[in-house]
Amino acid sequence: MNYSPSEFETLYTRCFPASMRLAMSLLHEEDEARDVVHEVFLKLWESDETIGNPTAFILRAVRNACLSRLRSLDTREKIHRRLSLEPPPDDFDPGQHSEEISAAISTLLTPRQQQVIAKIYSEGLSYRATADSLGVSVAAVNKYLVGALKKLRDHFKS
Amino acid sequence: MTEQQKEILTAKMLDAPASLSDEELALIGNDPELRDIYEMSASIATASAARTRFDMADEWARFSPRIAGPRLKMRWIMNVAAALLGVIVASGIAVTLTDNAPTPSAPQPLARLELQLPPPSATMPAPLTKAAPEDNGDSSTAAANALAAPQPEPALDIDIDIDEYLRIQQASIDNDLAMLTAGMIADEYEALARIYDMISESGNNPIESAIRKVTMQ
Repeated sequence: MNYSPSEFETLYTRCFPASMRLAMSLLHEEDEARDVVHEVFLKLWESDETIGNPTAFILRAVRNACLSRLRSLDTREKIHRRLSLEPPPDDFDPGQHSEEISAAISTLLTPRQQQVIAKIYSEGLSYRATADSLGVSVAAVNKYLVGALKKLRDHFKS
Repeated sequence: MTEQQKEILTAKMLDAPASLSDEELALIGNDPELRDIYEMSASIATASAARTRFDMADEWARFSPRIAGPRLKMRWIMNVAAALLGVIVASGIAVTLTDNAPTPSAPQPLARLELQLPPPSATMPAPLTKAAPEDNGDSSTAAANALAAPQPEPALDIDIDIDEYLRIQQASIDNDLAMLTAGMIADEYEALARIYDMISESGNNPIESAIRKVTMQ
């Protein structure tokens, strides 16, 4: 079916955040994620077919497009982007995954480890910048981070 | 791999992954502990990326220009229509240019006219060499008569447009003028030849006299 511009804006506003979060969690690159999401919405805009559940269609299409892009990346590029070397599970839910990680961080890690995690993953700082902002050495940052990751790994493995 | 080497490699993997060598990448992939640490790091990065917030007004402003025009299907139809129109117009222009452009290798217009016009006897004046004796050598009168003579319409039995018709008429006139000029030149040559013969017969050739004078000096 052909959406009117106002109908499409409503759909876009409703579906974009979830689509973008999914693409971001799979690709870890904001511009590329937005590109994928835009392409999917464009396809929907151009489509003549009637789509019963456009939200599900969009999320599935975004996921497929992201997986297609992931397949074209080599190990170096994946590690450079901090992407998992394993393909995501079929039932991957970025919202649920994020909640589980956040809960584990807040309950299992020390305040200093939490600070290091926040600086490196949320703010995107390097070891050096993190060390400077927390007033500790680079070696200490590495120690806090590796200790935190091992704790979390053990938690999720068990 | 020693514990110290593993610690250095872990730090490199987490802080500066772009600087990892191929061997180091292979080591990470083959060491279960390093790989687990890396996967946990990637998992946190994924969770962090999923918490990204967006300004929807800004996002819609970014996207909306991409759907501002007609849909792709309509654009495709419009493009095809425009292309077809373009081909038709270009063909018309090409045909016009081809017909009007002089082509060195092509036969001269005179030859083409002979194919398209009635026989030369119907459209061309009688040669001046024949008319001259009757008019006592007054070639200008013959030429005027020839030009003033009514020109029959070309016997065209195919459908052509007005431009094509005018072009043929112009070519016909050009052809007539060329024939007339050739006739006048031939008459002048014959007249000069007669004068030369008359002088030669009288035995007082001024040209020979002039040559003798020059050579004697």
